Amino acid sequence: MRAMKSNDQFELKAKDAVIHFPEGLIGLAECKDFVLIENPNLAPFRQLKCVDSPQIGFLVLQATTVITNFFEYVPVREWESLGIGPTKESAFVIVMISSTPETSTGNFQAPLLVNYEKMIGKQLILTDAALSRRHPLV
Amino acid sequence: MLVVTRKKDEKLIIGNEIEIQVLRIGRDNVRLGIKAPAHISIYRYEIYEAIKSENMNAVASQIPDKETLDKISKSMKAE
Repeated sequence: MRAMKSNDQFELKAKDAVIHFPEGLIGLAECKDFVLIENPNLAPFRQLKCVDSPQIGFLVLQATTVITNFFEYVPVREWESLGIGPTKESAFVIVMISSTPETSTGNFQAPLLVNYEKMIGKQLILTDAALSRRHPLV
Repeated sequence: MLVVTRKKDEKLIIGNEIEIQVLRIGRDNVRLGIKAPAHISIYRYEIYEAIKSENMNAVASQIPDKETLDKISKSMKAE
């Protein structure tokens, strides 16, 4: 697997609206503002990048792309804590891409929820649902 | 680290909103009840650490090339 040239000169574009994560991500409490970057070279994946530390970023995927009814696994109180109802466009998982589709995984145990109206998000851990943090993408 | 001794049914309060109560004391475990505002996330430490390490792995991994991503994308759609 070749790596794409890392984007050191990361510039914030106007269209890349900033999503605020009040608690940061798990283990990355200092990163509170992210941009969700769409790029034809990455589709259907998107890149989530920390605004203050551009070296912190990863690929995410809409969770329902893999588990169609994923939003049902997220407790209602979690959606409510963000001020939204269950929607498939609002749940993402962080993916780990490997050289083959079969070994590529997504962290379905700790999804990211986003409220696009308020542009706020959070990462939560699903402790009740039997979802893996290394769930195969295919 | 603050160390406090509590008996069964006794509580602690953290800040103005977070209450922790000792519900049961077993031989080698204790059962705790926690009352906190909805926006406060409460997890067992081990699971938090596991997710943290997954996040770190994801940060450390490089963005794959288009070919690899396309291959995965096609396999996902095939299902």
